[in-house]
Amino acid sequence: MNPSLRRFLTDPKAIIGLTILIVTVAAALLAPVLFPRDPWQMVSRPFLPPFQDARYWLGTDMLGRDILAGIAYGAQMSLIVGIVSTAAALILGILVGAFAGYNGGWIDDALMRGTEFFQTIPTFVFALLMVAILAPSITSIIIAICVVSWPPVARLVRSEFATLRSREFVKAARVLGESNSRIIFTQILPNTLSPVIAMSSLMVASAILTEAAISFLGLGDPNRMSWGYMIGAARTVIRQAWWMSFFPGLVILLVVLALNLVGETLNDALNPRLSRKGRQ
Amino acid sequence: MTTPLLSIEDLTVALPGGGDRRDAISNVTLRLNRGEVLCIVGESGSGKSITASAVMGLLPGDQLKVTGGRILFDGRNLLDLDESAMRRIRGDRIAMIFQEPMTSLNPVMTVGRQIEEVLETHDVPAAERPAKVLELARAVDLPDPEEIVKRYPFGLSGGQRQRVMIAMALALEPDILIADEPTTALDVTTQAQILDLIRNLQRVRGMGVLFITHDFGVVADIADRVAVMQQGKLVEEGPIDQVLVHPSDPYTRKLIAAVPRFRTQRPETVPEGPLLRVRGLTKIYRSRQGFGTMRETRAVDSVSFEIARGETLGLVGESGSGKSTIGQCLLRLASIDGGEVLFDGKDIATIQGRDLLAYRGRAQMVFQDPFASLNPRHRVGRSIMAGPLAHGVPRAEAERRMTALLERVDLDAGAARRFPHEFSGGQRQRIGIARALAVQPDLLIADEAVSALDVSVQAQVLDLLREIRRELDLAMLFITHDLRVASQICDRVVVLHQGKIVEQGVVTDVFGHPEQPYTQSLVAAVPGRSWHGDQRESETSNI
Repeated sequence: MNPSLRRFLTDPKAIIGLTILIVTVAAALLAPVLFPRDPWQMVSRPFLPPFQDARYWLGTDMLGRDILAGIAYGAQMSLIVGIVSTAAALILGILVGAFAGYNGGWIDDALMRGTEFFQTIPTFVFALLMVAILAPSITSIIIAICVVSWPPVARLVRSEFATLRSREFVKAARVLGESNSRIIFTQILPNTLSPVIAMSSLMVASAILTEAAISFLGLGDPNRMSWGYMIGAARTVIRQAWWMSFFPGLVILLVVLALNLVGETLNDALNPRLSRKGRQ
Repeated sequence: MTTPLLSIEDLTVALPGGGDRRDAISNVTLRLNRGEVLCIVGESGSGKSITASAVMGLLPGDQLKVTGGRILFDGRNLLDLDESAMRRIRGDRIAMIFQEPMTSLNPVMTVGRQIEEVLETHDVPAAERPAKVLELARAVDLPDPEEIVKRYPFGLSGGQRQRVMIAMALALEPDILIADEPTTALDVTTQAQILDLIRNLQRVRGMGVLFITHDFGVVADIADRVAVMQQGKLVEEGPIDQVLVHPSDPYTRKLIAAVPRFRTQRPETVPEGPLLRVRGLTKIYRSRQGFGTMRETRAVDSVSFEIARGETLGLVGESGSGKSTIGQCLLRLASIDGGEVLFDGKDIATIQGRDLLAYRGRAQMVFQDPFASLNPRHRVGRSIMAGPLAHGVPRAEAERRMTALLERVDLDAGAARRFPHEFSGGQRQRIGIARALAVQPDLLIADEAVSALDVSVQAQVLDLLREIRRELDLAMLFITHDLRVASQICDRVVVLHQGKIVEQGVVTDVFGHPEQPYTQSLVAAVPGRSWHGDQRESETSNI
């Protein structure tokens, strides 16, 4: 087995993180099977406290909707938003960063000033503004999160490209007559991916948090159950029904923690020299 | 017999598990007497630097552990001392200088202040310090000491920085100076000056010097006694005359035989017309200083030369002479600012697109660093086939060439499926040569292609290049800073200095009877000249 992969899989932090993520993904995929009824539908009496009815283990909310079903369907929303927006941000960031870093000169200057423009606006306010303008829906949330999260990727990829560009193996590829796009995608890009992969797991975590925050403020997709929406709805009744905000909040905490653990161990596994230095 | 200043007895340092051998150094026993220079010489991985670090107590404790032996200094075992006692010995009694003078100095502190800091750490009264700093600067022959101590390291040349390092090491008049490859990063003329300086200071102050190097030429110039190390073991030790002239160990003999020497036999002349004709090549680097003002540096200034098929032309010079820039220009890795480069009669200075691609199918390069010149994420086979594939050669043909070339450079066919990190430096350089040859070029440019290699490997790669040039009737441009290597492989040489050609001609004429003062100083600075002379005489007398 690949040594980086083995280092990753034998790290207890990674095992904890991966377990939580696998459970979350399973919940999202199996939600329609486990909870065949619509999570928006009333199933029991309102304000049913947790651990009293075995059928509704985590209780119900003020309209008698099952909290556990809500969390399972909310996992779908969080994971879709997290993964799709991160993937889009990675593609955009890598393209901009690679192009700027490989070419240098005025192309680099122009692209990086553009990137900095996006970074000067506070990300959450910017995302919120975009969702408000585009009308709340899952697509607009994904677009908004993607737009605010690609600049760090672009900067990272650019700096990696700028150093690798002058390496001898890249010069050798130029002398051998390989085209620029081939050099970018087959020679340099594979050498820049380790930090990008580690970063992407943290980006999924922050995308999930941003989505939860947008939904909390009531700008979420009105047709989809979401953890942020559940907490937002529970806000007014927090004294009567603590469980309504506690369980979705706990799930967000665990998933974000898991993604951070995975990201950190990926980083260690992919850059073993750096991490060993850190531990000394 | 007098008691030695420093004695290392049966020293063993273990490597962390999973290495290719168990001990970094095993059972090394060495003595250093007062007033002598002991050279430890060996190839990379021989454990010579680890021995020095062990004496200074600088081994990274979590990775390299001393598992046996003693290091006796002043009647005490240095290995038993705690950190604070060791700190008093370091600098005060035993000082060390390193290879890289740029990274050994703090870039944001004036050099005078850095020398002063050493004095401060070891409790020299503040009132005496400035005078002492100047005295030290004078002792290491820094020009204009009053002025230079106020400068920052970036304002000094490499040789001056190494002098500052030596001044810091001498600040407390140590008994022992440990020098770990102190001249390897320097130009040959600077190296000769620094070696002189160390030798003089050692004589004047009666220090013991432990000098670590890979270069037998340096050994010949500086050592009183020599210790040869191989793979963590001491293979031979003795007075310089004995080890260099009548080595008893087979490994030492092999190493000494591999040291490149000046060739005396005149190379055969090449009758053919030139393949590459360079006329007035000029490269200008512009850097902006503040607003509007541009500073121009002529890295290459109207350089003209020719190379014929079947001929090797050497470009030699010190750092900053523009020799590598010329290589980059000829392959169009750097743009050309003036002059013409006629390849097979066509000017390639400004060609683009299809023409440039076609040219790159006929001119190739072997790079200096065998670790940086191969993509770490590509298998070797893929790296070698990249060139032919980019030139539209069918995959089957590219594979056939790759297999044939791997065999030609003495690597087994399984090498194609492995990654670069599984190979040694010399093997990687062979892969680099195979990659360049895969497009079947007419012109091969080797940019310091053997500089990063150990001397025995260097000899093998030079042999390989020589054979290939003959077999394929290539025109070869060999760029190097090492005159001895150039003398070994080149037919003609061009000597460069600050972007201009100083002298060019047949290699034995230029190095044997240099006409220009600069060339004369270069040749005179080559380490181990007297020894090479002895060697030749002793060889002829043996016959």
